[in-house]
Amino acid sequence: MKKNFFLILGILLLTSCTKPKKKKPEINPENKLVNWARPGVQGQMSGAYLVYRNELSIPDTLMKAESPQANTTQIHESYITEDGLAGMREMKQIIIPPNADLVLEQGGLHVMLMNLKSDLSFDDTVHVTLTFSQAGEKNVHVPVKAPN
Amino acid sequence: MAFLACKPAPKIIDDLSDRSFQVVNQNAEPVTFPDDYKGKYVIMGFIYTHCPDICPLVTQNMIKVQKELGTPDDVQFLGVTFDPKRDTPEVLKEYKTVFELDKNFDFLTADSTTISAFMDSVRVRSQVSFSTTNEYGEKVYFMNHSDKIMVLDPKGRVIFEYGGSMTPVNYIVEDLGTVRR
Repeated sequence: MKKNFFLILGILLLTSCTKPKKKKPEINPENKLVNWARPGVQGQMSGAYLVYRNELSIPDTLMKAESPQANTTQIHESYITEDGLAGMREMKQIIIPPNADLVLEQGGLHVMLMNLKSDLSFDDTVHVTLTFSQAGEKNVHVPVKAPN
Repeated sequence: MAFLACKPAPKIIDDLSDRSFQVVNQNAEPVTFPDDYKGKYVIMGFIYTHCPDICPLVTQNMIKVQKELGTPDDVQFLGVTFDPKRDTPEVLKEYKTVFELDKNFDFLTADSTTISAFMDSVRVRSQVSFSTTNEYGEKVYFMNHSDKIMVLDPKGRVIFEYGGSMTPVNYIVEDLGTVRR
């Protein structure tokens, strides 16, 4: 009887100590957001994210981005360097295939709003003008949101 | 008994308990790290405020963990800058304000020498990657950097580390749940 008790106890301990399998990594839900910008402080940085569809039957090229709310606006890309660091680089031109989306999202391409002219608070709207080689100027308005 | 057996001591990745860094928080209040946080779990990420993409993701992930945990008093959240030249307490205070953060969420900075030693101790690397010129002709630099969130136990020992920007929040919450009583 005593022997059985210790056998059952041992099984219980072993099974209860098995580390539960971790869930499959989820795509962070914020990456699913489209058309939004981060809050930011005057003089500092923010990022704007959006999806633009090239509806032309020919390739188009994003040449530049501008915003009246930032002193400098560029297209940047976040990437992982060869030695494993998180880095960022300016993208001068981005080619978009015909009938394809240009996706600007967290952790990837984004509109870099530098030296903000005023604070960007929740529910403000950021105005961005994208200039394409074929489609010309396109105005996009994105709300300032908390992505979480 | 079986329940107790499910709380094995986590592997100690680094022991910071014998370190003592004199830093300041976003209110310019002196902080001794990690001593001032002993007795609490610390969830710590590394950022610079001129980073608009990866570092805010690190901050957001920590915010999510805090919300997920119900903003507990026994868990302190820290964002430590590796760009002390620009990230003064005033700048960090604005950064905290814009994210609308809780009282248990602080940002730390210090002089460059102290921050270098701090980052060495937590194995966070950073380097200036490129600079661009703003409308005033001033150079604005960007940095390549480690992407990391770590968890310290109440004794100041690093017990978990994660990729800061992309790790699903539930991983951190679940790991913390295995050690936090």
